Amino acid sequence: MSGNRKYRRLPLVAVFFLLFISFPILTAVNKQHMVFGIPVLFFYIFLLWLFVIVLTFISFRKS
Amino acid sequence: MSVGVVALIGILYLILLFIIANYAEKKSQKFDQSKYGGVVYALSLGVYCTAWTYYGSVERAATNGIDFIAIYLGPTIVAVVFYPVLRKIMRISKVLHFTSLADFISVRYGKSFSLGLIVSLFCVLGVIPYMALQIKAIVLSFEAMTGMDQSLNNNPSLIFTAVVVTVVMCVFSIFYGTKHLDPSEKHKGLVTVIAFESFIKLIAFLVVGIYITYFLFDGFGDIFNQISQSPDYQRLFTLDESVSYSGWFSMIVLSMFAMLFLPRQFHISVVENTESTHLKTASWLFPLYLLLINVFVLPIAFGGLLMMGDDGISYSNFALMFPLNEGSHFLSILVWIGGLSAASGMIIVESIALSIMLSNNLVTPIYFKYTNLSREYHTNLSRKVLFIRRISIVFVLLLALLYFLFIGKEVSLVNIGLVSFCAVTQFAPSVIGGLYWRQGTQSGAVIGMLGGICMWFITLIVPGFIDSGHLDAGIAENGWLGIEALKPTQLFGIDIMDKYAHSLFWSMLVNISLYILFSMYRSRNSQEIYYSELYVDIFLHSGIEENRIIWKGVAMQKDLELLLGNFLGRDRALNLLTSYARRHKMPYDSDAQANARMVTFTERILSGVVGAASARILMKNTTKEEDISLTEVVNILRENQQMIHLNKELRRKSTELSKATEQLQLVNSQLLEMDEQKDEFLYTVTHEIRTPLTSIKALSEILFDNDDIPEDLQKKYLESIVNETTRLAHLISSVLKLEKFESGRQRLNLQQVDLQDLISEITQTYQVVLNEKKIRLSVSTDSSMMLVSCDRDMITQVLVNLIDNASKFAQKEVMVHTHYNEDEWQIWISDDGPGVEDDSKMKIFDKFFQAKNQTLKKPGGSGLGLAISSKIIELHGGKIWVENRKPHGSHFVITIPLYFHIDD
Repeated sequence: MSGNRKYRRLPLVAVFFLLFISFPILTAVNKQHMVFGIPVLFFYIFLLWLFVIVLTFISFRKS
Repeated sequence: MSVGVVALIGILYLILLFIIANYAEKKSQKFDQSKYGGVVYALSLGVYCTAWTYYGSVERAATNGIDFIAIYLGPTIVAVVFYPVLRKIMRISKVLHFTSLADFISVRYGKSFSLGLIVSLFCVLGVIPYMALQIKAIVLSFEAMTGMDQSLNNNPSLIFTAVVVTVVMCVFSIFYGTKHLDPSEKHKGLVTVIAFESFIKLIAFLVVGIYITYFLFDGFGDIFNQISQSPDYQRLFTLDESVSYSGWFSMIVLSMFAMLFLPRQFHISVVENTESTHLKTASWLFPLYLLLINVFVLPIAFGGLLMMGDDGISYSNFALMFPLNEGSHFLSILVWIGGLSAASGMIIVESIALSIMLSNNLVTPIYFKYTNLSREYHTNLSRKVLFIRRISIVFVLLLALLYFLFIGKEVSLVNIGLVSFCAVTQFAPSVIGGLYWRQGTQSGAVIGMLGGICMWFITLIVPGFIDSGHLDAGIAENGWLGIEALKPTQLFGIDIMDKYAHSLFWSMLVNISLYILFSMYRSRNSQEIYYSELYVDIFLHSGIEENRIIWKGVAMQKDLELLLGNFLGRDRALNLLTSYARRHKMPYDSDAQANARMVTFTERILSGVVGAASARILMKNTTKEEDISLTEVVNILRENQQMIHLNKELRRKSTELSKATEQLQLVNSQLLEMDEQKDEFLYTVTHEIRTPLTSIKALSEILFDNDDIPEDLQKKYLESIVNETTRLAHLISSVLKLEKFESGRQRLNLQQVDLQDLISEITQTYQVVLNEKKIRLSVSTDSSMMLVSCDRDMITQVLVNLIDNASKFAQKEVMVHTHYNEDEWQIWISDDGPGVEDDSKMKIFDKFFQAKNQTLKKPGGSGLGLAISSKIIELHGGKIWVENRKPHGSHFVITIPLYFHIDD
């Protein structure tokens, strides 16, 4: 895949990120449960955030 | 800690900042071009994280849980998705030499003075409280460090600290933010200091976070587990969906636009940007920065609640109070320095950005308008403009100080930050619309923005005044004029949103609606048409921007030189104008009349120096302008469109031409190679023919000259002559055959052949020869029937040639093995000889390979056998190659397709 095509996917990554950090999807993790000793909501948001950063990094690295 | 020590540390830190700034100014060029340029740029964007992040996030996390994170998720989305938008803004700003957001908006809408003024004043109005809160954060942290009275009312030490902080920030901003007026010279020292401060605050926050999480508690799990035991704090683990639904989303949206339109963010990300490629690094590094700086917010907040929740300590001070309470001086100093960095970075950049807006859009235009400029041209105007800018910095910081001293003491960091975010969001419709919608007009932008500002004021500021007791609480309870539908925080009965979401909704609704409505029903003037085209299609136009002329009148070159010289210095002005003239192949003569192109260029340079509004006034004063009609603008745009079209066509033609050139070069090199091959072939053939001829000639001469040669010797000589003649005939016949293959004249006589039969026929014939050499010949096949469509004679020739070759090199054994593979037959002829060197594996099928490689042991033959075999197999649609066999020997492999046929 060419760098430009990867770069054009970035808006999709952002939309996906916005979608997954918005209600009602967020309701699924908006619980009192813990994952690895961390509240599931915190864990989910930080993990997703890191994932988007890595995706962006890869996209720009290859473009 | 004593006041003196903390003050000394603060002064030393500021001295360090001055040193870094000076160093960066000296090494700026080297630094920009290095790979660290992008990192510095990304770190400087960290000016987004102010004292609000450093202290305010902890406060918000301690009261509301994770919802503070929304204002960092927004910028992450911006960094990822708005790369094209920011790139566009950057390109426009670079082409038109903008130094502020106000210039960016006002020029798009026809160099509107009123729009520039509205943006500037509203920025001041919206951001001053935010700056005041930074002063408050520095002062309170200083008081906390020194253990002084932290009460905010009538506390002289607090006022003194606030004044000192403001003065120091003022000096730094003036020193590094107003060094020069030339927009092409960036404030490298300033940007590096901001990047350094971002680094420091990140490190400080991470260190204190690790200290609290792992030294005072047993990690994240311990803190979260302890806090979950308390019923009061369990709610902090989740978002309250009944109220957070809209609040959460609105904070994400607000922070997205804040990232783009806060004056300091625009200044750092656009005005101070030196390379657009740095944006790529920032797109992932800046979100990573935001993530890292937020990792320990929750542990600090929850840890603070657990250990100091009942002590009456302000939640915002948790990060600082932990090390102070534990007696860790070094750590508390580090945390304090981090907070100082967060707040001071914001104050410095914001004051510079606001001062540029105020001076360019308010003070300088008014000064130029009411001054006799013809007299002023003989004085140094740049000094005056710089003086105005410095005074603006003082004014902005003074306003922030006064706000803090008289209003901001009771207001929390978090609330003021969001009010500012909501304020700058009002620029979004004009900017985004201006970038992508040609029809957006000045009146639409002005009225839309004013409508949005009014709604912002009604829905956010008025409730603030009501809360602080400055306005009647009845307005909040019963609405304006007692009308229920006009409650400031529940307009028209909408009560499902929190106040920020409510304000965002109404202000954006009004702003966007008015912008679209007035844009659709008001026509654009010539300047608006011109700039809307430029903004919307900047990447098409930027290349030809210098050729675009939207000016008519009379101007002298010496006047332009004098005007520019007043701001940039005579030498720099002359240099700019002469190089521009040279670039466009125009004569430069001070006494001559300047053409429209040069006038436009001068105005653009001036816009970067004093802002678009002031530049307009200056140009009007310096030249005799004539009104340019709408038709003329339309004609210019049409010409530009044609030029763009021509450029595109030229680019396309040029690409086609270079492709054709590449192809020609390739063909040429192939021809040269073939020519070389032909020469080499001729040389080798003649050489190979000469050898037997020489031998025949010599033997014939001996026989001719000597009648007394014994009969048996004569017979031997004659036998040699016959052999050499046969070899010669064989060579010539091989050459002719090869030529037939290469010229494509060789035809195949296809018939169904059973390879099994063919192989056994050949091996039987060859068995006798091999027996004489004491070489064993073994044959193994996969099947008893191997029917293929091929030319029997030719395949026989190939097999004979390969077996013959193998027998020449074999020590003890030659093997013929066949097997069926998908839809082809593979025949392997192997020997246990020395094998083939890796380098020669491909070349071995070249003509006369043996003859050309004199170092190889030559077993005899024409040197064309493998070349002919290769051609025969290729003609059958098969392949031939050689592999080495372990431990020694080689495999010659040929494949013949099962269903081979020749296309007509």
